Amino acid sequence: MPTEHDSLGCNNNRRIQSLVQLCQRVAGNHIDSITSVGELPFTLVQPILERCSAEQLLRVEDASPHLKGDTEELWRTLCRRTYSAMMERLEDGTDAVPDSWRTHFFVLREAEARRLEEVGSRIRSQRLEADERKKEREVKFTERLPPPKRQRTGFDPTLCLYCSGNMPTQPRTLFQKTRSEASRLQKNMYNTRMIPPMLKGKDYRPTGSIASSPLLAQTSYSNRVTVKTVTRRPSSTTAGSSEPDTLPSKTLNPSPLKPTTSTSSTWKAETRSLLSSSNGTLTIPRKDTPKNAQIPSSEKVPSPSKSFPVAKRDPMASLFVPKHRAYSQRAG
Amino acid sequence: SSLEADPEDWVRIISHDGYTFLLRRKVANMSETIKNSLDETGGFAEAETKTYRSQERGIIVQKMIEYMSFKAHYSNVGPQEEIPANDMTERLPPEILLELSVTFWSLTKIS
Repeated sequence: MPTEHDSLGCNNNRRIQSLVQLCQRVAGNHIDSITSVGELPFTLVQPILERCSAEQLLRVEDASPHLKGDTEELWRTLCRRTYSAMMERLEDGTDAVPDSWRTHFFVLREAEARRLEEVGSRIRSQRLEADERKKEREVKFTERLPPPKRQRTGFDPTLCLYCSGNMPTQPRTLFQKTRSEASRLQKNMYNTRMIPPMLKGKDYRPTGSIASSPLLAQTSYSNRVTVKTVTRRPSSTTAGSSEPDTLPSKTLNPSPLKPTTSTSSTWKAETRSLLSSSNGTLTIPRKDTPKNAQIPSSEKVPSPSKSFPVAKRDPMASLFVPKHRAYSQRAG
Repeated sequence: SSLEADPEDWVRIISHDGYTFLLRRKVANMSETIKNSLDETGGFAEAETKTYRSQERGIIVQKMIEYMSFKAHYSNVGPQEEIPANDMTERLPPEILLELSVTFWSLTKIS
Protein backbone atom coordinates (compact mmCIF):
# COMPACT_ATOMS: atom_id res chain seq x y z
CA MET A 1 0.00 0.00 0.00
CA PRO A 2 1.13 3.51 -0.62
CA THR A 3 3.61 5.12 1.69
CA GLU A 4 4.26 8.65 2.64
CA HIS A 5 7.51 8.69 0.85
CA ASP A 6 6.06 7.74 -2.47
CA SER A 7 6.71 10.31 -5.06
CA LEU A 8 6.69 10.25 -8.78
CA GLY A 9 8.07 13.51 -9.83
CA CYS A 10 5.51 15.39 -7.79
CA ASN A 11 6.78 18.57 -6.31
CA ASN A 12 3.93 19.12 -3.96
CA ASN A 13 4.65 16.38 -1.52
CA ARG A 14 5.42 18.86 1.14
CA ARG A 15 2.14 20.49 0.75
CA ILE A 16 0.06 17.38 0.50
CA GLN A 17 -0.55 16.01 3.91
CA SER A 18 -0.11 12.36 4.47
CA LEU A 19 -3.10 10.22 5.01
CA VAL A 20 -2.13 9.82 8.61
CA GLN A 21 -2.12 13.51 9.07
CA LEU A 22 -5.45 13.82 7.41
CA CYS A 23 -6.85 11.09 9.59
CA GLN A 24 -5.53 12.77 12.69
CA ARG A 25 -7.14 15.94 11.63
CA VAL A 26 -10.51 14.37 11.20
CA ALA A 27 -10.13 12.43 14.40
CA GLY A 28 -9.48 15.66 16.25
CA ASN A 29 -12.88 16.80 15.14
CA HIS A 30 -14.53 13.72 16.51
CA ILE A 31 -12.79 13.20 19.80
CA ASP A 32 -15.99 12.49 21.64
CA SER A 33 -16.51 9.51 19.42
CA ILE A 34 -13.16 8.08 20.34
CA THR A 35 -13.42 5.88 23.35
CA SER A 36 -10.14 4.11 22.82
CA VAL A 37 -7.12 4.30 20.61
CA GLY A 38 -6.45 0.67 21.15
CA GLU A 39 -2.87 -0.29 20.78
CA LEU A 40 -1.88 2.67 18.74
CA PRO A 41 1.35 4.21 19.88
CA PHE A 42 1.50 7.60 21.42
CA THR A 43 3.26 9.14 18.49
CA LEU A 44 0.41 8.25 16.22
CA VAL A 45 -2.32 9.61 18.45
CA GLN A 46 -0.46 12.56 19.90
CA PRO A 47 -1.94 15.13 17.56
CA ILE A 48 -5.36 13.84 18.50
CA LEU A 49 -4.66 13.97 22.22
CA GLU A 50 -3.36 17.47 22.00
CA ARG A 51 -6.81 18.54 21.11
CA CYS A 52 -8.46 16.64 23.94
CA SER A 53 -10.08 18.19 26.97
CA ALA A 54 -9.20 16.92 30.42
CA GLU A 55 -12.11 14.51 30.51
CA GLN A 56 -11.41 13.17 27.05
CA LEU A 57 -7.76 12.70 27.80
CA LEU A 58 -8.60 10.89 30.97
CA ARG A 59 -10.97 8.58 29.14
CA VAL A 60 -8.46 7.71 26.44
CA GLU A 61 -5.79 7.11 29.02
CA ASP A 62 -8.01 4.77 30.94
CA ALA A 63 -8.71 2.75 27.79
CA SER A 64 -5.09 2.65 26.72
CA PRO A 65 -2.97 2.82 29.84
CA HIS A 66 0.24 2.59 27.87
CA LEU A 67 -0.27 6.20 26.97
CA LYS A 68 -0.07 7.47 30.53
CA GLY A 69 3.63 7.68 30.58
CA ASP A 70 3.72 10.00 27.67
CA THR A 71 0.92 12.35 28.56
CA GLU A 72 2.63 14.44 31.25
CA GLU A 73 3.37 17.25 28.93
CA LEU A 74 -0.17 17.19 27.70
CA TRP A 75 -1.44 17.59 31.25
CA ARG A 76 0.94 20.44 31.85
CA THR A 77 -0.41 22.20 28.83
CA LEU A 78 -3.92 21.61 30.07
CA CYS A 79 -3.06 23.11 33.47
CA ARG A 80 -1.59 26.15 31.88
CA ARG A 81 -4.48 26.61 29.54
CA THR A 82 -7.24 26.13 32.11
CA TYR A 83 -5.82 27.65 35.26
CA SER A 84 -3.35 30.15 33.93
CA ALA A 85 -3.54 32.38 36.99
CA MET A 86 -2.65 29.66 39.41
CA MET A 87 0.07 28.39 37.16
CA GLU A 88 1.83 31.70 37.36
CA ARG A 89 2.71 30.94 40.93
CA LEU A 90 4.63 27.93 39.72
CA GLU A 91 6.46 29.84 37.09
CA ASP A 92 7.73 32.49 39.43
CA GLY A 93 8.79 29.93 41.94
CA THR A 94 6.17 30.36 44.65
CA ASP A 95 5.03 26.77 44.58
CA ALA A 96 6.99 23.63 44.07
CA VAL A 97 6.78 21.80 40.78
CA PRO A 98 4.29 19.00 41.09
CA ASP A 99 5.31 15.45 40.50
CA SER A 100 2.41 14.65 38.33
CA TRP A 101 0.77 17.19 36.18
CA ARG A 102 -2.21 14.97 35.85
CA THR A 103 -2.98 15.05 39.59
CA HIS A 104 -2.02 18.68 39.77
CA PHE A 105 -4.65 19.49 37.23
CA PHE A 106 -7.38 18.13 39.45
CA VAL A 107 -5.89 19.82 42.49
CA LEU A 108 -6.18 23.11 40.65
CA ARG A 109 -9.70 22.29 39.61
CA GLU A 110 -10.77 21.70 43.21
CA ALA A 111 -9.13 24.89 44.38
CA GLU A 112 -10.95 26.79 41.69
CA ALA A 113 -14.29 25.30 42.67
CA ARG A 114 -13.73 26.17 46.31
CA ARG A 115 -12.82 29.73 45.46
CA LEU A 116 -15.88 30.17 43.34
CA GLU A 117 -18.04 28.76 46.12
CA GLU A 118 -16.61 31.22 48.63
CA VAL A 119 -17.10 34.16 46.36
CA GLY A 120 -20.58 33.02 45.51
CA SER A 121 -21.65 32.61 49.10
CA ARG A 122 -20.12 35.93 50.03
CA ILE A 123 -22.05 37.67 47.32
CA ARG A 124 -25.18 35.82 48.31
CA SER A 125 -24.89 36.81 51.96
CA GLN A 126 -24.16 40.40 51.03
CA ARG A 127 -27.21 40.49 48.88
CA LEU A 128 -29.32 38.98 51.64
CA GLU A 129 -28.03 41.54 54.11
CA ALA A 130 -28.80 44.33 51.73
CA ASP A 131 -32.29 42.95 51.25
CA GLU A 132 -32.78 42.71 54.98
CA ARG A 133 -31.72 46.26 55.51
CA LYS A 134 -34.01 47.34 52.77
CA LYS A 135 -36.87 45.46 54.34
CA GLU A 136 -36.36 47.14 57.67
CA ARG A 137 -36.72 50.47 56.09
CA GLU A 138 -39.88 49.54 54.32
CA VAL A 139 -43.26 50.75 55.43
CA LYS A 140 -44.94 47.80 57.06
CA PHE A 141 -48.42 47.06 58.23
CA THR A 142 -48.73 46.48 61.92
CA GLU A 143 -51.42 45.91 64.50
CA ARG A 144 -49.58 47.47 67.41
CA LEU A 145 -49.83 51.09 68.37
CA PRO A 146 -46.74 53.18 68.45
CA PRO A 147 -45.30 53.69 71.94
CA PRO A 148 -46.95 56.55 73.85
CA LYS A 149 -45.06 59.72 74.34
CA ARG A 150 -43.33 60.24 77.61
CA GLN A 151 -45.59 61.93 80.08
CA ARG A 152 -43.12 63.35 82.48
CA THR A 153 -39.51 63.90 82.77
CA GLY A 154 -39.12 64.55 86.51
CA PHE A 155 -39.78 62.83 89.75
CA ASP A 156 -43.32 63.08 90.83
CA PRO A 157 -43.58 62.36 94.53
CA THR A 158 -47.32 62.57 94.69
CA LEU A 159 -47.64 59.66 92.41
CA CYS A 160 -44.95 57.74 94.18
CA LEU A 161 -46.77 57.89 97.44
CA TYR A 162 -49.49 55.74 96.16
CA CYS A 163 -47.44 53.01 94.83
CA SER A 164 -48.08 50.93 97.85
CA GLY A 165 -51.75 51.49 97.50
CA ASN A 166 -53.72 52.45 94.51
CA MET A 167 -52.39 54.58 91.72
CA PRO A 168 -54.15 57.76 90.81
CA THR A 169 -56.73 57.17 88.23
CA GLN A 170 -55.55 59.80 85.81
CA PRO A 171 -52.35 61.64 85.13
CA ARG A 172 -51.82 64.85 86.97
CA THR A 173 -52.87 67.97 85.26
CA LEU A 174 -50.46 70.70 84.46
CA PHE A 175 -51.78 72.71 87.34
CA GLN A 176 -51.14 69.94 89.77
CA LYS A 177 -47.69 69.44 88.47
CA THR A 178 -46.86 73.06 88.63
CA ARG A 179 -48.11 73.30 92.12
CA SER A 180 -46.11 70.43 93.41
CA GLU A 181 -43.08 71.64 91.57
CA ALA A 182 -43.46 75.05 93.04
CA SER A 183 -43.81 73.82 96.56
CA ARG A 184 -40.86 71.62 96.09
CA LEU A 185 -38.82 74.48 94.85
CA GLN A 186 -39.95 76.59 97.65
CA LYS A 187 -38.97 74.02 100.15
CA ASN A 188 -35.57 73.73 98.70
CA MET A 189 -34.96 77.38 98.27
CA TYR A 190 -36.04 78.71 101.58
CA ASN A 191 -34.89 77.40 104.83
CA THR A 192 -37.71 78.98 106.64
CA ARG A 193 -41.13 79.36 105.43
CA MET A 194 -41.94 83.01 105.83
CA ILE A 195 -45.55 82.81 105.05
CA PRO A 196 -47.74 80.12 106.29
CA PRO A 197 -49.69 78.30 103.71
CA MET A 198 -53.15 79.52 103.25
CA LEU A 199 -55.54 78.02 105.61
CA LYS A 200 -58.65 77.15 103.82
CA GLY A 201 -61.60 76.06 105.73
CA LYS A 202 -61.40 72.46 104.80
CA ASP A 203 -57.86 72.41 103.85
CA TYR A 204 -55.99 72.17 107.04
CA ARG A 205 -53.35 69.80 107.92
CA PRO A 206 -53.39 67.44 110.78
CA THR A 207 -50.96 69.71 112.45
CA GLY A 208 -52.75 72.72 111.21
CA SER A 209 -51.18 75.14 113.68
CA ILE A 210 -48.66 77.59 112.59
CA ALA A 211 -46.09 76.02 114.74
CA SER A 212 -46.39 72.76 113.13
CA SER A 213 -46.37 73.88 109.59
CA PRO A 214 -42.81 75.02 109.71
CA LEU A 215 -42.04 71.66 110.97
CA LEU A 216 -43.70 70.31 107.96
CA ALA A 217 -41.23 72.07 105.86
CA GLN A 218 -38.54 69.95 107.24
CA THR A 219 -40.23 66.73 106.66
CA SER A 220 -38.69 64.41 104.29
CA TYR A 221 -39.46 60.90 103.51
CA SER A 222 -36.66 59.50 105.42
CA ASN A 223 -37.07 57.57 108.56
CA ARG A 224 -34.60 59.68 110.28
CA VAL A 225 -36.72 62.72 110.09
CA THR A 226 -38.72 63.34 113.13
CA VAL A 227 -41.05 66.16 113.23
CA LYS A 228 -42.76 67.25 116.27
CA THR A 229 -46.33 66.54 115.89
CA VAL A 230 -48.50 69.01 117.56
CA THR A 231 -51.74 67.33 118.14
CA ARG A 232 -54.64 68.76 119.82
CA ARG A 233 -56.67 66.81 122.22
CA PRO A 234 -59.67 68.30 123.83
CA SER A 235 -58.71 67.07 127.27
CA SER A 236 -55.18 68.12 127.30
CA THR A 237 -54.33 71.71 127.66
CA THR A 238 -51.00 71.59 129.31
CA ALA A 239 -48.09 72.89 127.47
CA GLY A 240 -46.09 70.02 128.59
CA SER A 241 -42.65 69.10 127.78
CA SER A 242 -42.49 68.45 124.25
CA GLU A 243 -41.89 64.88 123.72
CA PRO A 244 -40.72 64.54 120.30
CA ASP A 245 -42.01 61.58 118.68
CA THR A 246 -41.21 60.06 115.43
CA LEU A 247 -44.51 60.74 113.93
CA PRO A 248 -44.36 62.93 110.97
CA SER A 249 -46.40 65.98 110.98
CA LYS A 250 -48.95 64.58 108.74
CA THR A 251 -50.97 61.71 109.88
CA LEU A 252 -54.14 60.47 108.50
CA ASN A 253 -56.07 60.27 111.70
CA PRO A 254 -57.94 63.41 111.87
CA SER A 255 -59.87 62.69 115.02
CA PRO A 256 -57.42 63.92 117.58
CA LEU A 257 -56.58 66.77 115.43
CA LYS A 258 -59.83 68.31 114.71
CA PRO A 259 -60.48 70.98 117.18
CA THR A 260 -63.82 70.64 118.73
CA THR A 261 -65.90 73.57 119.29
CA SER A 262 -65.48 73.34 122.99
CA THR A 263 -61.81 73.78 122.90
CA SER A 264 -61.52 75.92 119.93
CA SER A 265 -60.89 78.89 122.00
CA THR A 266 -58.02 77.21 123.72
CA TRP A 267 -56.54 76.27 120.44
CA LYS A 268 -56.80 79.69 119.22
CA ALA A 269 -55.21 80.85 122.41
CA GLU A 270 -52.30 78.65 121.72
CA THR A 271 -52.02 80.02 118.34
CA ARG A 272 -52.03 83.46 119.63
CA SER A 273 -49.48 82.69 122.25
CA LEU A 274 -47.20 81.36 119.68
CA LEU A 275 -47.66 84.40 117.66
CA SER A 276 -46.75 86.59 120.53
CA SER A 277 -43.82 84.57 121.57
CA SER A 278 -42.21 84.79 118.28
CA ASN A 279 -42.23 88.52 118.02
CA GLY A 280 -44.70 88.86 115.32
CA THR A 281 -42.88 86.88 112.77
CA LEU A 282 -43.62 83.37 112.29
CA THR A 283 -40.48 81.52 112.27
CA ILE A 284 -39.71 78.01 112.69
CA PRO A 285 -39.13 77.49 116.37
CA ARG A 286 -35.99 75.66 115.87
CA LYS A 287 -33.30 76.25 113.45
CA ASP A 288 -32.96 73.76 110.77
CA THR A 289 -30.02 73.01 108.66
CA PRO A 290 -30.02 73.26 104.93
CA LYS A 291 -30.13 69.59 104.94
CA ASN A 292 -33.42 69.38 106.58
CA ALA A 293 -33.41 65.67 106.60
CA GLN A 294 -30.96 65.29 109.40
CA ILE A 295 -33.09 66.40 112.29
CA PRO A 296 -32.28 64.48 115.41
CA SER A 297 -35.11 63.08 117.22
CA SER A 298 -34.26 64.55 120.54
CA GLU A 299 -34.74 68.15 119.52
CA LYS A 300 -37.33 69.92 121.45
CA VAL A 301 -40.08 72.03 120.21
CA PRO A 302 -40.92 75.18 122.10
CA SER A 303 -43.70 75.20 124.56
CA PRO A 304 -46.59 76.32 122.51
CA SER A 305 -46.47 73.07 120.80
CA LYS A 306 -48.65 70.61 122.42
CA SER A 307 -47.71 67.12 122.75
CA PHE A 308 -49.19 64.17 124.45
CA PRO A 309 -48.30 60.61 124.57
CA VAL A 310 -49.22 58.92 121.41
CA ALA A 311 -49.85 55.33 120.82
CA LYS A 312 -47.01 53.46 119.32
CA ARG A 313 -47.00 53.64 115.61
CA ASP A 314 -45.15 51.79 113.05
CA PRO A 315 -42.21 53.95 112.01
CA MET A 316 -42.32 52.47 108.62
CA ALA A 317 -45.66 54.04 108.07
CA SER A 318 -43.97 57.37 107.81
CA LEU A 319 -42.17 56.31 104.74
CA PHE A 320 -44.87 57.01 102.29
CA VAL A 321 -46.71 59.77 103.96
CA PRO A 322 -46.76 62.82 101.77
CA LYS A 323 -45.43 66.00 103.17
CA HIS A 324 -48.36 67.84 101.84
CA ARG A 325 -51.72 66.42 101.98
CA ALA A 326 -52.21 64.64 98.77
CA TYR A 327 -54.24 66.31 96.25
CA SER A 328 -56.78 63.63 96.35
CA GLN A 329 -57.10 64.12 100.09
CA ARG A 330 -57.75 67.75 99.75
CA ALA A 331 -61.35 68.54 99.70
CA GLY A 332 -62.41 70.39 96.67
CA SER B 1 5.58 -4.56 -24.14
CA SER B 2 4.70 -0.93 -23.85
CA LEU B 3 1.23 -1.70 -22.70
CA GLU B 4 2.42 -2.96 -19.37
CA ALA B 5 4.25 0.15 -18.32
CA ASP B 6 1.71 2.68 -19.55
CA PRO B 7 0.67 5.00 -16.80
CA GLU B 8 -2.75 5.20 -18.28
CA ASP B 9 -3.17 1.51 -18.02
CA TRP B 10 -5.84 0.15 -15.79
CA VAL B 11 -4.68 -2.01 -12.98
CA ARG B 12 -6.63 -3.97 -10.40
CA ILE B 13 -6.47 -4.03 -6.61
CA ILE B 14 -8.42 -6.68 -4.81
CA SER B 15 -9.16 -6.30 -1.07
CA HIS B 16 -8.91 -9.15 1.35
CA ASP B 17 -12.65 -9.52 1.57
CA GLY B 18 -13.09 -9.72 -2.20
CA TYR B 19 -13.70 -6.24 -3.41
CA THR B 20 -12.06 -5.33 -6.76
CA PHE B 21 -10.95 -1.85 -7.55
CA LEU B 22 -9.86 -0.65 -10.96
CA LEU B 23 -7.57 2.31 -11.17
CA ARG B 24 -5.04 3.83 -13.50
CA ARG B 25 -1.48 2.79 -13.12
CA LYS B 26 -0.35 6.32 -12.44
CA VAL B 27 -2.64 6.40 -9.43
CA ALA B 28 -1.53 3.00 -8.28
CA ASN B 29 2.02 4.15 -8.55
CA MET B 30 1.40 6.64 -5.76
CA SER B 31 2.15 3.69 -3.57
CA GLU B 32 5.70 2.52 -3.81
CA THR B 33 4.71 -0.91 -2.71
CA ILE B 34 2.05 -1.37 -5.31
CA LYS B 35 4.19 0.17 -7.98
CA ASN B 36 6.91 -2.28 -7.35
CA SER B 37 4.46 -5.11 -7.27
CA LEU B 38 3.01 -4.27 -10.60
CA ASP B 39 6.30 -3.59 -12.24
CA GLU B 40 7.05 -6.38 -14.57
CA THR B 41 10.69 -5.82 -14.16
CA GLY B 42 10.41 -6.69 -10.49
CA GLY B 43 9.68 -10.25 -11.22
CA PHE B 44 6.47 -10.43 -9.21
CA ALA B 45 3.59 -12.48 -10.38
CA GLU B 46 1.28 -9.55 -10.21
CA ALA B 47 2.97 -7.89 -13.14
CA GLU B 48 1.38 -10.37 -15.51
CA THR B 49 -2.05 -10.05 -14.11
CA LYS B 50 -1.84 -6.35 -13.27
CA THR B 51 -3.52 -7.25 -10.07
CA TYR B 52 -2.48 -6.42 -6.56
CA ARG B 53 -3.96 -8.35 -3.70
CA SER B 54 -4.31 -6.33 -0.46
CA GLN B 55 -4.51 -7.59 3.11
CA GLU B 56 -6.92 -4.91 4.12
CA ARG B 57 -10.65 -5.00 3.99
CA GLY B 58 -12.67 -3.26 1.30
CA ILE B 59 -13.38 0.06 2.89
CA ILE B 60 -9.80 0.58 3.84
CA VAL B 61 -8.63 -0.19 0.33
CA GLN B 62 -11.18 2.14 -1.08
CA LYS B 63 -10.08 5.02 1.04
CA MET B 64 -6.52 4.34 0.33
CA ILE B 65 -7.21 4.51 -3.38
CA GLU B 66 -9.14 7.72 -2.92
CA TYR B 67 -6.20 9.24 -1.18
CA MET B 68 -3.91 8.07 -3.90
CA SER B 69 -6.11 9.70 -6.48
CA PHE B 70 -6.12 12.89 -4.48
CA LYS B 71 -2.43 12.85 -4.19
CA ALA B 72 -1.84 11.97 -7.84
CA HIS B 73 -3.98 14.85 -8.95
CA TYR B 74 -2.49 17.55 -6.76
CA SER B 75 1.08 16.47 -7.13
CA ASN B 76 1.29 18.22 -10.45
CA VAL B 77 -0.45 21.49 -9.74
CA GLY B 78 1.45 24.76 -9.75
CA PRO B 79 3.01 26.06 -6.53
CA GLN B 80 0.49 28.87 -6.25
CA GLU B 81 -2.51 26.66 -6.25
CA GLU B 82 -4.08 25.77 -2.98
CA ILE B 83 -4.50 22.11 -2.18
CA PRO B 84 -7.92 21.50 -0.72
CA ALA B 85 -7.40 19.06 2.05
CA ASN B 86 -11.09 19.16 2.74
CA ASP B 87 -11.79 17.32 -0.43
CA MET B 88 -10.10 14.42 1.11
CA THR B 89 -11.02 14.78 4.72
CA GLU B 90 -14.69 14.85 4.02
CA ARG B 91 -14.32 11.50 2.48
CA LEU B 92 -13.07 10.00 5.68
CA PRO B 93 -15.74 8.55 7.94
CA PRO B 94 -14.67 8.81 11.57
CA GLU B 95 -15.25 5.14 12.19
CA ILE B 96 -12.31 4.06 10.14
CA LEU B 97 -9.90 6.77 11.02
CA LEU B 98 -7.88 4.86 13.51
CA GLU B 99 -7.77 1.74 11.41
CA LEU B 100 -6.76 3.76 8.46
CA SER B 101 -4.09 5.51 10.44
CA VAL B 102 -2.71 2.25 11.66
CA THR B 103 -2.56 0.81 8.18
CA PHE B 104 -0.95 3.78 6.68
CA TRP B 105 1.38 4.30 9.58
CA SER B 106 2.59 0.78 9.82
CA LEU B 107 3.41 0.88 6.18
CA THR B 108 5.35 4.08 6.58
CA LYS B 109 7.15 2.73 9.59
CA ILE B 110 8.40 -0.15 7.70
CA SER B 111 9.54 1.88 4.81
